[in-house]
Amino acid sequence: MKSTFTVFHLPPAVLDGLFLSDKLNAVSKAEKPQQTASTHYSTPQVDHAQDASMKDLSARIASATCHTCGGVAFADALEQRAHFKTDWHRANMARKLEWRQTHAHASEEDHPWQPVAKDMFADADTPGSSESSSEDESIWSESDISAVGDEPKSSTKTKQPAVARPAASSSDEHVLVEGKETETQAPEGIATVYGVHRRILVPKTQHNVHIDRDQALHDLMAMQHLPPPKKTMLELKMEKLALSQKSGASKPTVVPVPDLSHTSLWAVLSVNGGYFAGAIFDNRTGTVIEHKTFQRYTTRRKQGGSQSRQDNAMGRPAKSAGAQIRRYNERMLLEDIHALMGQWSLLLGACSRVFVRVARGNRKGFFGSALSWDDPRVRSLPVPMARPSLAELERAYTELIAVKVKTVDMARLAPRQDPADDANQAAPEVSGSESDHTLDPEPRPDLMAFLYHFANMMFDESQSDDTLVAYLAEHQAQLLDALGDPAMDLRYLESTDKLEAHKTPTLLHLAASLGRCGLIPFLIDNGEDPTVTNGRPPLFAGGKTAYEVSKDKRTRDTFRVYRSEHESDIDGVAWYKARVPEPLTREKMKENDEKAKEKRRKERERRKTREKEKKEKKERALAAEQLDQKAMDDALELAEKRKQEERTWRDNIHSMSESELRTRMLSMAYASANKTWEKSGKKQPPKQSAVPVRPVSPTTQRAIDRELRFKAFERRQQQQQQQSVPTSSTRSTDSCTHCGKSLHGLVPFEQFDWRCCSIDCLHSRQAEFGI
Amino acid sequence: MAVRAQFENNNDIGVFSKLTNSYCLVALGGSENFYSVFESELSDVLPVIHTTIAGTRIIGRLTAGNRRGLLRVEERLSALGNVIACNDYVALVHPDLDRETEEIIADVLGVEVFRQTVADNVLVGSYCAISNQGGLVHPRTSVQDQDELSSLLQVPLVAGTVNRGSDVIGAGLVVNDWTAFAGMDTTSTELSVVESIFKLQDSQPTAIVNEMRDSLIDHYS
Repeated sequence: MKSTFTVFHLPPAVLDGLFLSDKLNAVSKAEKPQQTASTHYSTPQVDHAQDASMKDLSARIASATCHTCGGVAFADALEQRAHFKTDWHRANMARKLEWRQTHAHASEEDHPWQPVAKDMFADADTPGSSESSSEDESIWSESDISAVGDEPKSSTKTKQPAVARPAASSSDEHVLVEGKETETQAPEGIATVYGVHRRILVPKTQHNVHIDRDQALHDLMAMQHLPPPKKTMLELKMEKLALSQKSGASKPTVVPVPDLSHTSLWAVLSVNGGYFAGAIFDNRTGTVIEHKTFQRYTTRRKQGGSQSRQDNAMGRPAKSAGAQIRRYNERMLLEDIHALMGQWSLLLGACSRVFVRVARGNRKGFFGSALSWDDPRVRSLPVPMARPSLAELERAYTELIAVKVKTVDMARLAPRQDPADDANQAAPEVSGSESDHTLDPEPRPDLMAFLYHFANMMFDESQSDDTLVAYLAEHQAQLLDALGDPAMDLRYLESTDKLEAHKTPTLLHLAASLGRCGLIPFLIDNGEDPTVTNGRPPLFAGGKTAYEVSKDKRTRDTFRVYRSEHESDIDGVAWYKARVPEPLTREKMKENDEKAKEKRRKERERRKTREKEKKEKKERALAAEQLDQKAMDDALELAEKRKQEERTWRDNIHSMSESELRTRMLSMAYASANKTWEKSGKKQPPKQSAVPVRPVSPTTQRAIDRELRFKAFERRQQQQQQQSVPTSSTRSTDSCTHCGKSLHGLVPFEQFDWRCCSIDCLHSRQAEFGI
Repeated sequence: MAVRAQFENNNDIGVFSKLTNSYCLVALGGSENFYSVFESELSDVLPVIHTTIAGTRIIGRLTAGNRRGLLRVEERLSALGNVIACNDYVALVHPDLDRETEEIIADVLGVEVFRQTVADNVLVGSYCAISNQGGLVHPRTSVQDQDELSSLLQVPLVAGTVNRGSDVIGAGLVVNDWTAFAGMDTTSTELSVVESIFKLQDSQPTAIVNEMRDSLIDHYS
């Protein structure tokens, strides 16, 4: 079907038979209406090779296809070229390269190439629409985009493969209206379906299932007969001017305009990464009547993200000059926008729809005082956009108002409807909820209750793994039902008082985080997917897999062992996505355990020996100390004793009589003479009468001797002084005591009171005295 | 007219020269022989320029160009000759090329840019040679891929080799709309295929199956 018309220019023939189809709005995404948006993109026609000689070409030229995307065929090269620019194709190309690398040596039969389904890409036919270059950091996270069209999914009736569950496909964002084209002779049961962006017809307050159908259809009808604006632009501006002059200030004023539901003006505003673009379109002509774009430096180059977000993430504001500039610019950008909104307040007041694309966090103060976010006319723009620019706004607007057309065989559609109905009807019987009215099937409440009950059991420390496994085995059917339920989310657990769903969104996560090793293999066997992460989106990206939230090494090893045992399964887990490292056989694990045990044992032994050694050393040290102490005590005692002795001896000396002293001295002389003789080997002189022998240390002996000598000297001095007249004239002090030779100029050899001129004289003298 | 040439005993002449419909670049060599081959063929119609690019002689690998312009970038994937294959209308580029570079290519060369692989190989510039008349691609390119590419480029394609069986087509062959230069090792059969697919010397691509059938089939018997 190749008809391109906008919501404002539906052919009357189409309009007549239009009705809002419940059935079709519940149609699965696979039945997405063919989009006609591709015509917005024009490809230059290249026909330089279209000469006649090419007709019978054997070198191949033909078949506009794309094998990367699963052999899609195109009507002509133009379509093919447009396709080659879509994100769908690019994603497939990137995946195919990766696939090529991983299966470099495998044959095509073993690992056939499986392209991503087109449904994954909301803009599959819009070339490069979700383009966001690396330096133009997009503040639209994926969840933001899906939040833009935050209608619940219209259906998940047919079982989607787990990986190919798209965040938002464009059929979600369209209201499908069924029509009968009277002119075409359609066969029985074939209906033509017209798709219009939901946001246009359905106010954001209305939930998917509670669409006011009559109102929506009425709105659509009304759009066909747009009245000319009540005032021309010029008049509006003049009025505003007059108003501002009257009030004397440029204060933005909101002019309440009654019944704005179907004026011919729509506004489209977008702000992203410091870029703002806004335009007001006249729907009758599809032209821009007012527009403004501006830009400020707010996003962090190469790092991405707005400054305020970075500040919030850091917990403290960055202090760099760049950060301050960006912070300032963010503020100024908002002020600029407010100023513009003020300027446009009249125009905006006259718009029947204001489509805004702004990050969720910035919504609140976006309009300033010109408009409120809660205004029913304000809606989020359901079309993905690149960096805001006038061209992008125009593209988004064209996309927004385009009507998508498709033929649907209602007869074939009908039977497929049944299972979903069954599922939907089955649930309320248990819970009595209203989910039969919902197009988005809810998981069965009894199954959810079972899962939560089991999660609680897992928290109970008193339950052993075996008991839990036994319990699960008993309720295996229920578990299989729950995990295999197509309505069940990939991350099905919600936070409760114990459970933290952002950490452990599945039972497997929970089991891993609680270290319930016994449960893990059973859970995976029964349909738990270890590749699911606790981040967003659930697969491939941020967040942690069950393996990664494992409590301890034992739990991690359980995963690896499971991997080793199920590596060769045909429909096995994509272990690299589960981020489980290389498999670990049970034997190897046992071996590792042994090793660890051995290591621990050795460590313990080593510690023991170390402690023992330490103890011994301590004891030794103690003993040594005691010894030292004793030795010191002994020494002190000894010293004390000696001192005592010395004192006694000294006292003795003082009290000694002359004769006694003499005897002592003689004995001393004998002692030294003995020593001399021993040394010279001369014949020992005859022993004198016994001299009292006393146990005296050499030091003390020396001290005593010195004392004795001193005493003798003193006494001599006294004698000399008393005998001032020399009694012994023969013995002049200046002549040798023995030979009488003058000692003048000589150093005399002295002993007692002898002074000899030579050592021979002294010896002779000594011999004389018998010493 | 397809001519054989050699650059200092090297048959990879695509590395040392760049040929488009409006100019020809030739690397500075030890002798003038290489230059002379180009000069004698092209001097009447095109400027043949001696040059180095970024101080190197591998000018054919560092640049991409067509009759509208010549391109060289200084960033990742800077060997544009290896990552871009283009004629005057379309360019096939390496799938990982930056978007900025892609835009530059589109602007400077005035072409529509497609990220593509040739025979599952990302170095599209190395493994194929295309002109406005036709294209020679890697010998392992599947028939389906040839069809797809041919439709995309809107020129006839054939899978083949140059330089006596070398699959590095881009290095062994430089071609514009009326002349081709191939390495000295290129066999006469290979040269005939080149002449046919690029429609040189009044021969048509049909010749590959009609006249050259015997010589081509002979290779496999």
